[in-house]
Amino acid sequence: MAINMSASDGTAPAGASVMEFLVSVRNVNEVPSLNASGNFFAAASREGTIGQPLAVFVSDEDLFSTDFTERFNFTI
Amino acid sequence: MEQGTGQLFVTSTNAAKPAFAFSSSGNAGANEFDLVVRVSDRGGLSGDGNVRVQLTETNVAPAFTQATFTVGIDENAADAAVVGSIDATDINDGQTVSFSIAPTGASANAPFPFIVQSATGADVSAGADGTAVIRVASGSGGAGAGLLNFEGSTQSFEAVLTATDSHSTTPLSTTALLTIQVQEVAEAPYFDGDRRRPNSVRFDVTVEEGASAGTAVRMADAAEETTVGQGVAARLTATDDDVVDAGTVRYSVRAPTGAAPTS
Repeated sequence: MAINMSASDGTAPAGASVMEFLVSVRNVNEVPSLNASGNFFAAASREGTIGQPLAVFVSDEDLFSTDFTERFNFTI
Repeated sequence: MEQGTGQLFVTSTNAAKPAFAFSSSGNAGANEFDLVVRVSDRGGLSGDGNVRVQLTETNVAPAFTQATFTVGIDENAADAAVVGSIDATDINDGQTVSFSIAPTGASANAPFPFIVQSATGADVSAGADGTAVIRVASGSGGAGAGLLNFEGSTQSFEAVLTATDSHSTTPLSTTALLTIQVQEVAEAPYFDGDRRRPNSVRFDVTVEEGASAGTAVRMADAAEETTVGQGVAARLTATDDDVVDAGTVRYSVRAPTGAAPTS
């Protein structure tokens, strides 16, 4: 984001002295939360997956950042 | 759990008996697992969530320890004699295993002298064994039936042994191929080879009083006499069915116990 700042002493034409600032918004990391709603079902006696990957149940504001890719690790 | 995606898996180190077995006990929570999962982001922040995993019942067919079995039975074994016992397992809790047997192959269209029974009929719970006991069928045992005769035409029987679980709607089965071999048993020789009389212990013969030594003894039944030299004498022949004993039958004469010596 660019911001122009002008300085004037009241006599000189406004904008006689202009300085441009480039302001960058720095991401502040947000806490992820896990809300695995509903039950996960596992077929007894059968090896295989249980439900959907838990990543789809994670809420994190950082996921909306356009220039920041969030990644998660899960532990049980 | 897969760290990057959070995918949960059912795993087992023992394929034959998975760690997860559905319980039919009816206890609340017996088939539920509550997990606390922690999710961590790249910046090291984390949050916890609760996940409840519910087990759903999956019927699995019983399993034999082998695909083929070979057992042996002595020839002329009696009715109900045990031929062998074969185990099957069923990992589903609360189910029982029943067995059936059917001749196959060369035995399919011949008399089949065996039956199968469950050992106890008891509940075969997860990981427990069910036992099939193969027995000689009623009326098929003994020498008289002639179905279990090593010297006969059939020395081996083939059958399909089936184990079936007791699932209420979709019972599952597993089969194994069973070979039953009739085993040789040494059998005593018997007299009267032409007309087998295993229980004949007495032959009626006649001899004239005062007969001199060397006089032929005559049989009461002329059909059981044979020509000896210029005369006729009793023919007492014995047969031994055992192949290994062929041609080795020997004869001797002795007085019955307590009788006067033979002269």
